Amino acid sequence: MAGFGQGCDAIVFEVTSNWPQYRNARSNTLTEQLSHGIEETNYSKYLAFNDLVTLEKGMRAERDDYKTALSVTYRKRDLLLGLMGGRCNQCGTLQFPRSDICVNPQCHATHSQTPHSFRDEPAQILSWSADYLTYTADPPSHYGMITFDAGGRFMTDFTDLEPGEIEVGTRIKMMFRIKSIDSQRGFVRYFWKGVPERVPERVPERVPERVSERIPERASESAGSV
Amino acid sequence: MATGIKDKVAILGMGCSRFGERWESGAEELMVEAYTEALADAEIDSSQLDAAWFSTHYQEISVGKGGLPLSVALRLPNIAVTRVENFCASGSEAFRGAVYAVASGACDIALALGVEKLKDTGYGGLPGSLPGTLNAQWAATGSAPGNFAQLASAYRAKHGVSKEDLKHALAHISVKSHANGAKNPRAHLRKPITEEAAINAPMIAEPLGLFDCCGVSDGAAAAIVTTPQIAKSLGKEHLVTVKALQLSVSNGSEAGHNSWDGSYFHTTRIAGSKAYQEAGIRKPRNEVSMFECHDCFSITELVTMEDLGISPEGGAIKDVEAGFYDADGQVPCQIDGGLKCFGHPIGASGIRMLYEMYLQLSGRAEDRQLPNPSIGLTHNLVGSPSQNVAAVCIVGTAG
Repeated sequence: MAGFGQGCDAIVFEVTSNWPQYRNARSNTLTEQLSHGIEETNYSKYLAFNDLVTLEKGMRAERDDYKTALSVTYRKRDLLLGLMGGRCNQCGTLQFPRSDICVNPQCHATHSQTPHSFRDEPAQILSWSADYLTYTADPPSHYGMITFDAGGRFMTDFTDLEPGEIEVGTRIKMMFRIKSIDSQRGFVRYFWKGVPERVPERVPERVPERVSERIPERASESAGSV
Repeated sequence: MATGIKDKVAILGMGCSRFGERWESGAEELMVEAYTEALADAEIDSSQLDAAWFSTHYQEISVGKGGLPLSVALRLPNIAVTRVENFCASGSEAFRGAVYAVASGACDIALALGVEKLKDTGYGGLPGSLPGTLNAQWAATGSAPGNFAQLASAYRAKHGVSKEDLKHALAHISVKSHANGAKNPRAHLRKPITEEAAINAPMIAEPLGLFDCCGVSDGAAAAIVTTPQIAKSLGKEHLVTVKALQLSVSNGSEAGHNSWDGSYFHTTRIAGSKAYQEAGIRKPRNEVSMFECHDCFSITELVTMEDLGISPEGGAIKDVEAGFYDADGQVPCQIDGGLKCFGHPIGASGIRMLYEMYLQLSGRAEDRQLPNPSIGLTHNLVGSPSQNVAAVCIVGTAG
C-alpha cells in the first residue's frame, strides 16, 4: 500500500505462517464486522456524518478539545488502539486501564499488572442512558457502564443501535471506531465503542440487498421519489 | 489523637446573592453582593478578616485562576486568599479551609466565598470540562444529565422498580423542591410545578426530563467563621456551630472494579458515616432535623436519601411518596428549594446550602422556617456515579 502526496509513504504487508493461528484466535474478521454492523441507508445522514454538508451543530459542538497530545497517543497506543488493559498477578483482577496500582480495593498491589486485551472479552451493560443534551452527530448519545464477565469494567459509548434497544444486561461487543474528529487540525481520534451483540440473522431489516440486484428496479421507479 | 471539628468553630455571618440569570452582573458583582451581606451579618469590617478561601470551578468562563480575583473584587486587606477547586464540592472545600484555619488557631476570623458565573457560555446546560490529555482520548461521552441518569437503570434493576414508579417518585421530589423554592426570594426558579408536568417534560437524558434536572444559574454565597468564644465576645447570640466536616473521594474502584453495582454513591456513604461519627449522631433518621443534599438531578437526591442513612436501602421511594421529605414531613429535604430551584453555580452551591441551614437554625428563615430545628446537614457531590467526591457538613445549634 503506497500513498503519494507531499512525499510518499509505503506500507508492505506479508502473510506469515502465524496467520491461521491469529485468524482462529480472533472473532473479528472483516466479514464478521460487516455482518455485525448496521448499514445506514439515510443519504442525508451520510452527508452529515462525512461533513459533506455544512450543518448547524449547535454551540456544544463548538467546544475546542485542544490539540491531541500526541505523546500521550503514542505512550498509550496499546490502550487506545488495542483496548489493552491489565491483569494483576497478585489477585488476578482484570482492569481497564492498566495502572501502577491495582484497582481491587482488597489488593492495591503496585507494579503488578501485565497487559491483557479486552477486545474479545464478553461484556454486558450495568447501567446506561440516552443523552439528548450532549453533542453527538447521531443523537441521542447512548453511553454507560459495561462489566466484563472475566472481570474489569469501564464507561463506554454505545453505537449501532436504536433508542429503546438496550437495557441493563444487554450483551455487548467492542468495536474499533472513530472516536472524534478534530476538524480544526485535521486529526482523527480512534477508540472502541460497545455494540449490542446480535445474532447475524437478526440484524434489522434496514440492511439493503446487493446493489446489483436493485438496478433493474431502479429503472422503473418514477423520477422524484425519495 | 485527632478530636474532630465538633463545636470548635461558629458561623459569625453569612451572605447569599440572588441566584438566577444575572445578565446584569458579572462574577465580580456577585461576589460583592454575597460578601457585603456576610460582613453586615457578622457586624465586622474587612480589616478583621485574617484569611480567605475562594471557590470557583470554571475559571475559563469566569474570573480566571488563583486567589487574586477574590482579593481584587472585594478589596481585601492583602490577606491570604487561597483558591480551592473540587468541582461541585468547591464551596464545601472553601468552608472547610476557613473552618480548619480557625480551629487550628492560625486565624481568628476567616472568610469562605464561592461564586460561579455560568450564563456567559451562551447555551443551556452545564458546559463540558476538559478531562485531561489521556481521558480526552478514550473516556466515554458524558454530560451531567447522562452520567447521573446511569443511576436510574442500575437502581431499577437492583430494586425491581418499574420505570413508571421511579418516574413518579422522581416527579414528587421535584414538585416538593419547587414548592419550597417558590417561598424563597433568592431562588432562581420560583414557580410550583405539577407531577404531571414533571413526568411529561421533554427528555434530557433517559429517564431524566427537564424537571428532573437542576437549573444552570449564576450566584455567590459567603460565610465568615470564627471561634465560639470570639463570636460571643463580639455579641453574637444563638450560635450555630460546625459539628462535622467530611469528604470522601473515589479511588477508581467504582469505575474499574466489579464490586460496585451502579445504584448508589460509595463516597457519600463513607463521608456520611464519618460525619455522623464526628458529630455524635447515631440515628440520622431521628436526629437530623433537615438537610440539603446535592439534587443536581432528582435521581441523585433519591439515592442520596439512602446513602445518608435516612431512608433504608431500597426504601427511599416509599418515604418520598409518603411525604417524609416534604416541608411538613419528618425530615424536610431542600427546604430552600435546593439546586433544583437555585440552580447550580458550582463554586457557590456548597455555601448556599449552609446559608439556609444557618438561617433555619437561627430562626430567620421567614416563610420557610421549620419548628425548632437543631441539626442541619449539607451534602455536596462531584463527578458521576462511578467517580466522585462527596462532602458532608453538619451544623447545629451550639452546645
